Amino acid sequence: MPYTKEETDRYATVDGVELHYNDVGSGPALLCFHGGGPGANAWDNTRFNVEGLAPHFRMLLVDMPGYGESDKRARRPEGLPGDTALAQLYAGLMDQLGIDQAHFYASSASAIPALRFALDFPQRTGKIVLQANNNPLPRLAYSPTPAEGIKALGEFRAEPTRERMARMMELFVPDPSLLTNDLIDRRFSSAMTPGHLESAGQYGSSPSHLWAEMRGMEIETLILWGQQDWMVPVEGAMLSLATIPNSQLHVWAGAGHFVQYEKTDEFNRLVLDFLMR
Amino acid sequence: MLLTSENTTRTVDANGVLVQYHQAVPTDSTDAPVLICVAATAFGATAWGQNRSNIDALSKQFRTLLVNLPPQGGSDKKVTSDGPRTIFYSEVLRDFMDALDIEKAHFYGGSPAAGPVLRFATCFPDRVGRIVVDAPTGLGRSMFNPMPVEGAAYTAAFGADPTMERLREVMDIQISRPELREEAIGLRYEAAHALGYQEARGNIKGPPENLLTFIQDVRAPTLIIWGAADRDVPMDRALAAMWEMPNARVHFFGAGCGHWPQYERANEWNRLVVSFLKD
Repeated sequence: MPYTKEETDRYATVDGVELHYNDVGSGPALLCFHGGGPGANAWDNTRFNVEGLAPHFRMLLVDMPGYGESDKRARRPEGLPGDTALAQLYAGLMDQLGIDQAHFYASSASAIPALRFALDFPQRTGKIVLQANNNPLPRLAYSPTPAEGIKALGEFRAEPTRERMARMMELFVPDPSLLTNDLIDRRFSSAMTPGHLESAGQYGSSPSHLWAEMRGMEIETLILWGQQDWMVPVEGAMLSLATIPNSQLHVWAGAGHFVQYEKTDEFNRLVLDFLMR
Repeated sequence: MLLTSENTTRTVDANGVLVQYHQAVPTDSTDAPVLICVAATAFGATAWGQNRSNIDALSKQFRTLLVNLPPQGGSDKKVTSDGPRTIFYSEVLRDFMDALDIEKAHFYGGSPAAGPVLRFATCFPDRVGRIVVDAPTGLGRSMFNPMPVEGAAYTAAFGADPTMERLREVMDIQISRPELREEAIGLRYEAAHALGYQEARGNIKGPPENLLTFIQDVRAPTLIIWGAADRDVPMDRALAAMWEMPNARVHFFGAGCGHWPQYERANEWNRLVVSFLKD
Protein backbone atom coordinates (compact mmCIF):
# COMPACT_ATOMS: atom_id res chain seq x y z
CA MET A 1 0.00 0.00 0.00
CA PRO A 2 1.57 3.29 -1.02
CA TYR A 3 1.75 5.92 1.69
CA THR A 4 0.78 9.45 0.69
CA LYS A 5 1.72 12.78 2.17
CA GLU A 6 -1.87 13.99 2.39
CA GLU A 7 -3.06 10.98 4.37
CA THR A 8 -0.21 11.28 6.83
CA ASP A 9 -0.04 15.07 7.34
CA ARG A 10 -0.21 15.99 11.03
CA TYR A 11 0.33 19.17 13.03
CA ALA A 12 1.37 19.87 16.60
CA THR A 13 2.17 22.97 18.60
CA VAL A 14 5.22 22.55 20.83
CA ASP A 15 6.32 25.41 23.09
CA GLY A 16 4.33 27.77 20.89
CA VAL A 17 5.97 26.52 17.68
CA GLU A 18 3.68 25.00 15.06
CA LEU A 19 5.24 21.89 13.63
CA HIS A 20 4.13 19.94 10.60
CA TYR A 21 5.04 16.29 10.34
CA ASN A 22 4.06 13.14 8.54
CA ASP A 23 3.17 10.18 10.70
CA VAL A 24 3.79 7.10 8.60
CA GLY A 25 3.81 3.40 9.41
CA SER A 26 3.90 1.56 12.68
CA GLY A 27 6.47 0.09 15.03
CA PRO A 28 9.23 1.68 17.09
CA ALA A 29 9.44 5.45 16.51
CA LEU A 30 11.95 6.73 13.94
CA LEU A 31 12.19 10.52 13.83
CA CYS A 32 13.41 11.75 10.44
CA PHE A 33 14.90 15.17 9.85
CA HIS A 34 15.80 16.95 6.63
CA GLY A 35 18.81 19.13 5.86
CA GLY A 36 19.15 22.87 6.15
CA GLY A 37 19.39 24.09 2.54
CA PRO A 38 16.71 26.27 0.93
CA GLY A 39 13.59 24.31 0.02
CA ALA A 40 14.40 21.32 2.21
CA ASN A 41 11.44 19.64 3.89
CA ALA A 42 10.76 16.39 5.62
CA TRP A 43 8.47 14.68 3.11
CA ASP A 44 10.59 15.47 0.05
CA ASN A 45 13.73 14.38 1.88
CA THR A 46 12.50 11.02 3.09
CA ARG A 47 9.58 10.09 0.82
CA PHE A 48 11.78 7.69 -1.20
CA ASN A 49 12.39 5.60 1.89
CA VAL A 50 8.89 5.46 3.30
CA GLU A 51 7.85 2.36 1.39
CA GLY A 52 10.91 0.44 2.61
CA LEU A 53 10.99 1.62 6.22
CA ALA A 54 7.39 2.38 7.25
CA PRO A 55 6.37 -1.30 7.44
CA HIS A 56 8.88 -1.59 10.30
CA PHE A 57 8.83 1.80 12.02
CA ARG A 58 6.50 4.57 12.97
CA MET A 59 8.30 7.20 10.90
CA LEU A 60 7.79 10.79 11.92
CA LEU A 61 9.02 13.09 9.16
CA VAL A 62 9.31 16.44 10.86
CA ASP A 63 9.60 19.83 9.15
CA MET A 64 12.01 22.01 11.11
CA PRO A 65 10.80 25.47 12.13
CA GLY A 66 11.05 27.73 9.08
CA TYR A 67 10.87 24.78 6.66
CA GLY A 68 8.11 22.98 4.76
CA GLU A 69 4.78 23.53 6.44
CA SER A 70 6.18 24.28 9.88
CA ASP A 71 6.10 27.65 11.59
CA LYS A 72 7.71 30.51 9.64
CA ARG A 73 7.38 32.94 12.54
CA ALA A 74 9.13 30.82 15.15
CA ARG A 75 12.19 32.40 16.65
CA ARG A 76 14.94 30.71 18.58
CA PRO A 77 14.49 31.45 22.29
CA GLU A 78 16.86 34.12 23.52
CA GLY A 79 20.06 32.73 24.98
CA LEU A 80 19.46 29.17 23.82
CA PRO A 81 21.80 27.68 21.18
CA GLY A 82 19.95 26.51 18.08
CA ASP A 83 20.80 22.84 18.55
CA THR A 84 19.61 22.88 22.18
CA ALA A 85 16.39 24.65 21.24
CA LEU A 86 15.66 22.08 18.53
CA ALA A 87 16.48 19.15 20.81
CA GLN A 88 13.94 20.53 23.30
CA LEU A 89 11.36 20.85 20.53
CA TYR A 90 11.93 17.20 19.58
CA ALA A 91 11.49 16.14 23.20
CA GLY A 92 8.29 18.19 23.45
CA LEU A 93 6.91 16.64 20.27
CA MET A 94 7.72 13.15 21.55
CA ASP A 95 5.93 13.98 24.82
CA GLN A 96 2.81 15.00 22.94
CA LEU A 97 2.85 11.84 20.87
CA GLY A 98 3.47 9.64 23.89
CA ILE A 99 6.82 8.47 22.54
CA ASP A 100 9.31 7.66 25.24
CA GLN A 101 12.25 6.68 23.07
CA ALA A 102 12.98 7.04 19.35
CA HIS A 103 15.57 6.26 16.75
CA PHE A 104 16.81 9.24 14.75
CA TYR A 105 17.57 9.70 11.09
CA ALA A 106 19.13 13.10 10.51
CA SER A 107 20.38 14.41 7.21
CA SER A 108 23.08 17.06 6.85
CA ALA A 109 22.47 20.09 9.09
CA SER A 110 19.91 18.27 11.24
CA ALA A 111 22.62 15.93 12.49
CA ILE A 112 23.85 18.52 14.98
CA PRO A 113 20.51 18.87 16.83
CA ALA A 114 20.05 15.08 16.66
CA LEU A 115 23.40 14.55 18.34
CA ARG A 116 22.50 17.27 20.83
CA PHE A 117 19.30 15.40 21.60
CA ALA A 118 21.29 12.21 22.15
CA LEU A 119 23.58 14.01 24.59
CA ASP A 120 20.81 15.82 26.47
CA PHE A 121 18.25 12.97 26.42
CA PRO A 122 20.29 9.76 26.21
CA GLN A 123 17.51 7.63 27.75
CA ARG A 124 15.14 8.74 25.03
CA THR A 125 17.52 8.01 22.17
CA GLY A 126 17.58 4.64 20.44
CA LYS A 127 20.09 4.49 17.62
CA ILE A 128 21.15 7.28 15.28
CA VAL A 129 21.53 7.31 11.52
CA LEU A 130 23.37 10.34 10.19
CA GLN A 131 23.63 11.24 6.54
CA ALA A 132 26.33 13.55 5.18
CA ASN A 133 26.20 15.33 8.48
CA ASN A 134 27.58 18.69 9.30
CA ASN A 135 31.01 18.23 10.71
CA PRO A 136 31.00 17.83 14.49
CA LEU A 137 34.49 19.32 14.50
CA PRO A 138 35.10 23.04 14.01
CA ARG A 139 36.30 22.56 10.44
CA LEU A 140 37.75 20.23 7.83
CA ALA A 141 41.47 20.03 7.13
CA TYR A 142 41.73 19.23 3.42
CA SER A 143 38.58 20.69 1.92
CA PRO A 144 38.25 24.34 0.96
CA THR A 145 35.55 26.11 2.98
CA PRO A 146 32.84 26.88 2.07
CA ALA A 147 32.38 23.84 -0.15
CA GLU A 148 31.30 24.42 -3.72
CA GLY A 149 27.76 23.24 -2.96
CA ILE A 150 27.43 25.48 0.08
CA LYS A 151 28.36 28.44 -2.11
CA ALA A 152 25.55 27.46 -4.48
CA LEU A 153 23.09 27.50 -1.58
CA GLY A 154 24.18 31.04 -0.79
CA GLU A 155 23.85 32.08 -4.42
CA PHE A 156 20.32 30.75 -4.50
CA ARG A 157 19.39 32.56 -1.31
CA ALA A 158 20.79 35.80 -2.74
CA GLU A 159 18.74 35.45 -5.92
CA PRO A 160 16.22 32.61 -5.77
CA THR A 161 15.68 31.68 -9.42
CA ARG A 162 14.88 28.25 -10.83
CA GLU A 163 18.16 28.37 -12.70
CA ARG A 164 20.11 28.78 -9.50
CA MET A 165 18.05 26.03 -7.89
CA ALA A 166 18.94 23.74 -10.78
CA ARG A 167 22.63 24.50 -10.25
CA MET A 168 22.27 23.86 -6.52
CA MET A 169 20.54 20.54 -7.19
CA GLU A 170 23.27 19.47 -9.62
CA LEU A 171 25.63 19.72 -6.70
CA PHE A 172 23.28 17.75 -4.43
CA VAL A 173 22.79 14.91 -6.93
CA PRO A 174 25.87 14.50 -9.16
CA ASP A 175 24.46 11.71 -11.37
CA PRO A 176 22.54 13.55 -14.12
CA SER A 177 20.34 10.52 -14.73
CA LEU A 178 18.99 10.83 -11.17
CA LEU A 179 18.47 14.59 -11.21
CA THR A 180 14.92 14.90 -12.57
CA ASN A 181 13.06 18.08 -13.36
CA ASP A 182 10.47 16.98 -10.84
CA LEU A 183 13.13 16.93 -8.12
CA ILE A 184 14.23 20.47 -9.03
CA ASP A 185 10.68 21.81 -9.38
CA ARG A 186 9.55 20.43 -6.03
CA ARG A 187 12.56 21.82 -4.25
CA PHE A 188 12.16 25.19 -5.97
CA SER A 189 8.49 25.36 -5.10
CA SER A 190 9.23 24.47 -1.48
CA ALA A 191 11.97 27.11 -1.34
CA MET A 192 9.53 29.76 -2.57
CA THR A 193 7.03 29.05 0.24
CA PRO A 194 6.30 32.49 1.72
CA GLY A 195 8.43 33.21 4.75
CA HIS A 196 10.75 30.22 4.31
CA LEU A 197 13.93 31.87 3.08
CA GLU A 198 13.64 34.61 5.71
CA SER A 199 13.15 32.26 8.63
CA ALA A 200 15.17 29.18 7.64
CA GLY A 201 18.29 30.32 9.45
CA GLN A 202 16.59 30.91 12.78
CA TYR A 203 17.74 27.73 14.45
CA GLY A 204 20.82 27.43 12.30
CA SER A 205 24.46 27.33 13.14
CA SER A 206 25.16 27.87 16.77
CA PRO A 207 28.31 27.57 18.80
CA SER A 208 28.67 23.90 19.58
CA HIS A 209 31.25 21.81 21.32
CA LEU A 210 29.70 18.55 20.37
CA TRP A 211 32.96 16.90 19.48
CA ALA A 212 34.23 17.26 23.03
CA GLU A 213 30.95 16.28 24.65
CA MET A 214 30.53 13.16 22.55
CA ARG A 215 33.57 11.48 24.02
CA GLY A 216 31.62 9.23 26.37
CA MET A 217 28.58 8.75 24.15
CA GLU A 218 27.56 5.11 23.87
CA ILE A 219 24.65 5.40 21.47
CA GLU A 220 25.21 3.41 18.30
CA THR A 221 25.54 5.60 15.23
CA LEU A 222 25.54 4.70 11.54
CA ILE A 223 26.99 7.37 9.25
CA LEU A 224 26.07 7.34 5.53
CA TRP A 225 27.84 9.31 2.83
CA GLY A 226 28.50 9.74 -0.88
CA GLN A 227 32.10 10.04 -2.01
CA GLN A 228 31.04 12.68 -4.54
CA ASP A 229 29.39 14.98 -1.98
CA TRP A 230 29.77 18.61 -3.01
CA MET A 231 28.09 19.95 0.14
CA VAL A 232 30.01 18.22 2.90
CA PRO A 233 33.08 16.57 1.36
CA VAL A 234 33.76 12.95 2.28
CA GLU A 235 36.58 14.11 4.51
CA GLY A 236 33.79 15.00 6.91
CA ALA A 237 32.75 11.35 6.94
CA MET A 238 36.17 10.26 8.11
CA LEU A 239 36.26 12.91 10.81
CA SER A 240 32.77 11.94 11.95
CA LEU A 241 33.78 8.29 12.20
CA ALA A 242 36.73 9.33 14.33
CA THR A 243 34.72 11.75 16.49
CA ILE A 244 31.51 9.84 17.18
CA PRO A 245 32.51 7.05 19.55
CA ASN A 246 30.30 4.06 18.74
CA SER A 247 30.01 4.64 15.02
CA GLN A 248 30.36 2.93 11.70
CA LEU A 249 30.45 4.54 8.27
CA HIS A 250 29.19 3.52 4.86
CA VAL A 251 30.34 5.44 1.77
CA TRP A 252 29.16 4.95 -1.81
CA ALA A 253 31.40 5.74 -4.77
CA GLY A 254 29.83 8.24 -7.15
CA ALA A 255 26.99 9.29 -4.84
CA GLY A 256 26.36 12.83 -3.63
CA HIS A 257 24.58 14.45 -0.72
CA PHE A 258 21.23 12.63 -1.13
CA VAL A 259 22.18 9.00 -0.66
CA GLN A 260 18.71 8.24 0.79
CA TYR A 261 17.47 8.97 -2.76
CA GLU A 262 20.50 8.11 -4.88
CA LYS A 263 20.93 4.69 -3.24
CA THR A 264 17.39 4.10 -1.97
CA ASP A 265 17.38 0.31 -1.80
CA GLU A 266 20.80 -0.09 -0.26
CA PHE A 267 20.10 2.77 2.11
CA ASN A 268 16.88 1.15 3.28
CA ARG A 269 18.48 -2.23 3.80
CA LEU A 270 21.42 -0.82 5.73
CA VAL A 271 19.19 1.31 7.93
CA LEU A 272 16.75 -1.54 8.61
CA ASP A 273 19.55 -3.90 9.42
CA PHE A 274 21.23 -1.40 11.70
CA LEU A 275 18.09 -0.37 13.58
CA MET A 276 16.57 -3.84 13.89
CA ARG A 277 19.50 -5.90 15.07
CA MET B 1 25.12 -29.88 12.67
CA LEU B 2 28.01 -28.05 14.20
CA LEU B 3 30.39 -27.05 11.43
CA THR B 4 34.01 -27.81 12.15
CA SER B 5 37.19 -27.55 10.16
CA GLU B 6 37.30 -31.34 9.98
CA ASN B 7 33.73 -32.06 8.91
CA THR B 8 33.75 -29.41 6.20
CA THR B 9 37.14 -30.01 4.65
CA ARG B 10 37.52 -31.31 1.11
CA THR B 11 40.13 -31.40 -1.62
CA VAL B 12 39.92 -31.20 -5.37
CA ASP B 13 42.39 -31.51 -8.22
CA ALA B 14 42.20 -28.19 -10.00
CA ASN B 15 43.97 -28.80 -13.30
CA GLY B 16 46.89 -30.48 -11.56
CA VAL B 17 46.92 -28.22 -8.49
CA LEU B 18 45.63 -29.65 -5.23
CA VAL B 19 43.17 -27.25 -3.60
CA GLN B 20 41.92 -27.84 -0.07
CA TYR B 21 38.74 -26.07 0.91
CA HIS B 22 35.83 -26.14 3.33
CA GLN B 23 32.27 -26.47 2.15
CA ALA B 24 28.98 -25.78 3.90
CA VAL B 25 25.62 -25.60 2.19
CA PRO B 26 22.11 -24.44 3.09
CA THR B 27 20.10 -27.35 4.40
CA ASP B 28 16.90 -26.26 2.68
CA SER B 29 18.18 -25.55 -0.80
CA THR B 30 20.00 -27.55 -3.43
CA ASP B 31 20.66 -24.72 -5.87
CA ALA B 32 21.83 -21.90 -3.60
CA PRO B 33 24.17 -19.33 -5.15
CA VAL B 34 27.85 -20.07 -4.62
CA LEU B 35 30.10 -17.90 -2.45
CA ILE B 36 33.84 -18.48 -2.67
CA CYS B 37 35.79 -17.05 0.29
CA VAL B 38 39.46 -16.89 -0.58
CA ALA B 39 41.82 -17.05 2.38
CA ALA B 40 44.65 -14.60 2.89
CA THR B 41 48.08 -15.89 1.89
CA ALA B 42 49.88 -14.42 4.89
CA PHE B 43 52.27 -16.70 6.80
CA GLY B 44 50.15 -19.36 8.49
CA ALA B 45 46.82 -17.89 7.42
CA THR B 46 44.13 -20.44 6.59
CA ALA B 47 40.62 -20.45 5.26
CA TRP B 48 39.19 -21.87 8.47
CA GLY B 49 41.17 -19.41 10.59
CA GLN B 50 39.88 -16.53 8.51
CA ASN B 51 36.18 -17.32 8.17
CA ARG B 52 35.24 -19.74 10.95
CA SER B 53 33.05 -17.02 12.52
CA ASN B 54 31.25 -16.48 9.25
CA ILE B 55 30.67 -19.90 7.73
CA ASP B 56 27.53 -20.64 9.76
CA ALA B 57 25.76 -17.43 8.76
CA LEU B 58 27.00 -17.45 5.17
CA SER B 59 26.11 -21.07 4.53
CA LYS B 60 22.49 -20.47 5.52
CA GLN B 61 22.21 -18.45 2.31
CA PHE B 62 24.97 -19.65 0.02
CA ARG B 63 26.84 -22.75 -0.91
CA THR B 64 29.91 -21.45 0.87
CA LEU B 65 33.43 -22.54 -0.06
CA LEU B 66 36.41 -21.40 2.02
CA VAL B 67 39.44 -21.84 -0.20
CA ASN B 68 43.13 -22.18 0.67
CA LEU B 69 45.33 -20.99 -2.16
CA PRO B 70 48.62 -22.90 -2.57
CA PRO B 71 50.60 -23.42 -0.42
CA GLN B 72 48.25 -22.39 2.42
CA GLY B 73 46.43 -24.87 4.65
CA GLY B 74 46.11 -28.27 3.02
CA SER B 75 46.59 -26.96 -0.51
CA ASP B 76 49.34 -27.81 -2.98
CA LYS B 77 52.93 -27.68 -1.70
CA LYS B 78 54.59 -28.42 -5.03
CA VAL B 79 53.21 -25.95 -7.56
CA THR B 80 55.44 -22.93 -8.20
CA SER B 81 54.97 -19.60 -9.93
CA ASP B 82 57.21 -16.63 -10.71
CA GLY B 83 54.65 -14.46 -12.49
CA PRO B 84 52.29 -11.90 -10.98
CA ARG B 85 50.63 -13.59 -8.03
CA THR B 86 47.16 -12.26 -8.62
CA ILE B 87 47.15 -13.70 -12.13
CA PHE B 88 48.48 -17.07 -11.00
CA TYR B 89 45.87 -17.22 -8.25
CA SER B 90 43.11 -16.11 -10.64
CA GLU B 91 43.93 -19.09 -12.82
CA VAL B 92 43.93 -21.43 -9.82
CA LEU B 93 40.50 -20.09 -8.86
CA ARG B 94 39.19 -20.57 -12.39
CA ASP B 95 40.49 -24.14 -12.43
CA PHE B 96 38.98 -24.71 -9.00
CA MET B 97 35.58 -23.54 -10.26
CA ASP B 98 35.90 -25.68 -13.39
CA ALA B 99 36.81 -28.73 -11.33
CA LEU B 100 33.68 -28.28 -9.20
CA ASP B 101 31.55 -27.38 -12.21
CA ILE B 102 30.74 -23.94 -10.83
CA GLU B 103 29.93 -21.46 -13.56
CA LYS B 104 29.54 -18.31 -11.49
CA ALA B 105 30.07 -17.28 -7.85
CA HIS B 106 30.18 -14.40 -5.45
CA PHE B 107 33.65 -13.81 -4.04
CA TYR B 108 35.16 -12.71 -0.77
CA GLY B 109 38.82 -12.03 -0.12
CA GLY B 110 40.53 -10.53 2.90
CA SER B 111 43.76 -8.52 2.99
CA PRO B 112 46.27 -10.23 0.60
CA ALA B 113 43.43 -12.35 -0.85
CA ALA B 114 41.59 -9.25 -2.03
CA GLY B 115 44.07 -8.78 -4.88
CA PRO B 116 43.48 -12.25 -6.38
CA VAL B 117 39.70 -11.79 -6.10
CA LEU B 118 39.71 -8.37 -7.76
CA ARG B 119 42.09 -9.60 -10.46
CA PHE B 120 39.90 -12.64 -11.06
CA ALA B 121 36.99 -10.27 -11.64
CA THR B 122 38.92 -8.49 -14.38
CA CYS B 123 40.14 -11.74 -16.03
CA PHE B 124 36.88 -13.71 -15.82
CA PRO B 125 34.12 -11.13 -15.41
CA ASP B 126 31.35 -13.50 -16.49
CA ARG B 127 32.09 -15.83 -13.63
CA VAL B 128 31.69 -13.25 -10.85
CA GLY B 129 28.49 -12.09 -9.18
CA ARG B 130 29.33 -9.69 -6.39
CA ILE B 131 32.53 -9.08 -4.49
CA VAL B 132 33.33 -8.39 -0.84
CA VAL B 133 36.85 -7.55 0.28
CA ASP B 134 38.28 -6.71 3.70
CA ALA B 135 41.16 -4.22 4.00
CA PRO B 136 42.94 -5.08 0.74
CA THR B 137 46.71 -4.94 0.72
CA GLY B 138 48.36 -3.49 -2.39
CA LEU B 139 46.48 -0.20 -2.70
CA GLY B 140 49.58 1.94 -2.30
CA ARG B 141 50.85 4.20 0.42
CA SER B 142 48.75 5.98 3.00
CA MET B 143 48.21 9.69 2.56
CA PHE B 144 48.24 10.23 6.31
CA ASN B 145 50.30 7.59 8.09
CA PRO B 146 54.00 6.87 8.10
CA MET B 147 54.90 3.95 5.87
CA PRO B 148 55.59 1.11 6.11
CA VAL B 149 52.66 0.39 8.38
CA GLU B 150 53.19 -0.63 11.97
CA GLY B 151 52.24 -4.24 11.26
CA ALA B 152 54.80 -4.74 8.48
CA ALA B 153 57.86 -5.16 10.67
CA TYR B 154 56.09 -7.63 12.98
CA THR B 155 54.83 -9.67 10.07
CA ALA B 156 58.32 -9.78 8.57
CA ALA B 157 59.82 -10.74 11.94
CA PHE B 158 57.34 -13.62 12.32
CA GLY B 159 58.12 -14.78 8.79
CA ALA B 160 61.83 -14.92 9.58
CA ASP B 161 61.42 -16.46 13.02
CA PRO B 162 58.01 -18.09 13.39
CA THR B 163 57.84 -18.36 17.16
CA MET B 164 54.77 -17.96 19.34
CA GLU B 165 56.22 -14.70 20.71
CA ARG B 166 56.62 -13.18 17.25
CA LEU B 167 53.15 -14.34 16.27
CA ARG B 168 51.68 -12.76 19.37
CA GLU B 169 53.20 -9.43 18.33
CA VAL B 170 51.56 -9.74 14.92
CA MET B 171 48.15 -10.48 16.39
CA ASP B 172 48.45 -7.70 18.97
CA ILE B 173 48.73 -5.34 16.00
CA GLN B 174 46.09 -6.96 13.81
CA ILE B 175 43.27 -7.75 16.23
CA SER B 176 42.02 -4.86 18.26
CA ARG B 177 40.37 -6.62 21.21
CA PRO B 178 42.79 -8.70 23.31
CA GLU B 179 40.19 -11.33 24.23
CA LEU B 180 39.82 -12.29 20.57
CA ARG B 181 43.50 -12.91 19.93
CA GLU B 182 44.22 -16.25 21.59
CA GLU B 183 42.15 -18.46 19.33
CA ALA B 184 43.51 -16.76 16.22
CA ILE B 185 47.05 -17.18 17.48
CA GLY B 186 46.56 -20.88 18.14
CA LEU B 187 45.15 -21.61 14.70
CA ARG B 188 47.78 -19.63 12.88
CA TYR B 189 50.69 -21.07 14.84
CA GLU B 190 49.53 -24.58 14.09
CA ALA B 191 49.18 -23.84 10.37
CA ALA B 192 52.52 -22.06 10.22
CA HIS B 193 54.18 -25.20 11.58
CA ALA B 194 52.22 -27.77 9.60
CA LEU B 195 54.28 -30.42 7.85
CA GLY B 196 55.86 -29.10 4.66
CA TYR B 197 54.34 -25.64 4.85
CA GLN B 198 57.43 -23.57 5.57
CA GLU B 199 59.41 -25.35 2.87
CA ALA B 200 56.68 -24.52 0.33
CA ARG B 201 56.23 -20.97 1.55
CA GLY B 202 58.44 -19.49 -1.19
CA ASN B 203 56.86 -21.45 -4.05
CA ILE B 204 54.61 -18.64 -5.21
CA LYS B 205 57.01 -15.77 -5.77
CA GLY B 206 55.98 -12.87 -7.95
CA PRO B 207 56.61 -9.22 -7.11
CA PRO B 208 54.17 -7.10 -5.08
CA GLU B 209 51.41 -5.70 -7.27
CA ASN B 210 49.62 -2.37 -7.10
CA LEU B 211 45.89 -3.06 -7.30
CA LEU B 212 45.25 0.51 -8.40
CA THR B 213 46.63 -0.44 -11.83
CA PHE B 214 43.78 -2.84 -12.63
CA ILE B 215 40.75 -2.38 -10.37
CA GLN B 216 39.27 0.13 -12.83
CA ASP B 217 38.28 -2.92 -14.84
CA VAL B 218 36.25 -4.55 -12.06
CA ARG B 219 32.62 -4.32 -13.11
CA ALA B 220 31.10 -6.43 -10.34
CA PRO B 221 29.40 -4.52 -7.52
CA THR B 222 31.96 -4.46 -4.74
CA LEU B 223 31.72 -3.96 -0.99
CA ILE B 224 34.97 -2.96 0.73
CA ILE B 225 35.02 -3.42 4.51
CA TRP B 226 37.57 -1.85 6.83
CA GLY B 227 38.21 -1.38 10.54
CA ALA B 228 39.13 2.11 11.65
CA ALA B 229 41.74 0.69 14.05
CA ASP B 230 43.54 -1.21 11.29
CA ARG B 231 47.29 -1.01 11.92
CA ASP B 232 48.18 -3.33 9.07
CA VAL B 233 46.63 -1.67 6.02
CA PRO B 234 45.90 2.08 6.17
CA MET B 235 42.18 2.80 5.94
CA ASP B 236 42.45 5.87 3.74
CA ARG B 237 43.26 3.49 0.87
CA ALA B 238 39.58 2.59 0.83
CA LEU B 239 38.79 6.01 -0.57
CA ALA B 240 41.59 5.69 -3.13
CA ALA B 241 40.16 2.36 -4.29
CA MET B 242 36.66 3.79 -4.56
CA TRP B 243 37.73 6.52 -6.94
CA GLU B 244 38.84 3.75 -9.30
CA MET B 245 35.74 1.61 -8.80
CA PRO B 246 32.49 3.37 -9.67
CA ASN B 247 30.48 0.38 -8.45
CA ALA B 248 32.03 0.24 -4.99
CA ARG B 249 30.92 1.11 -1.52
CA VAL B 250 32.97 1.05 1.67
CA HIS B 251 31.80 0.13 5.14
CA PHE B 252 34.04 1.23 8.01
CA PHE B 253 33.65 -0.23 11.47
CA GLY B 254 34.68 2.45 13.94
CA ALA B 255 37.31 2.51 16.61
CA GLY B 256 37.84 -0.86 18.21
CA CYS B 257 37.88 -2.81 14.96
CA GLY B 258 41.27 -3.75 13.58
CA HIS B 259 42.46 -5.70 10.57
CA TRP B 260 40.00 -8.60 10.97
CA PRO B 261 36.49 -7.14 10.69
CA GLN B 262 35.06 -10.51 9.63
CA TYR B 263 36.18 -11.90 12.99
CA GLU B 264 36.19 -8.87 15.28
CA ARG B 265 32.69 -7.77 14.25
CA ALA B 266 31.45 -11.13 13.02
CA ASN B 267 27.70 -10.69 13.61
CA GLU B 268 27.48 -7.28 11.97
CA TRP B 269 29.84 -8.34 9.21
CA ASN B 270 27.74 -11.42 8.44
CA ARG B 271 24.55 -9.40 8.15
CA LEU B 272 26.18 -6.71 6.07
CA VAL B 273 27.72 -9.22 3.67
CA VAL B 274 24.63 -11.41 3.32
CA SER B 275 22.48 -8.36 2.70
CA PHE B 276 24.88 -7.03 0.07
CA LEU B 277 25.34 -10.34 -1.71
CA LYS B 278 21.62 -11.04 -1.83
CA ASP B 279 20.84 -7.67 -3.41
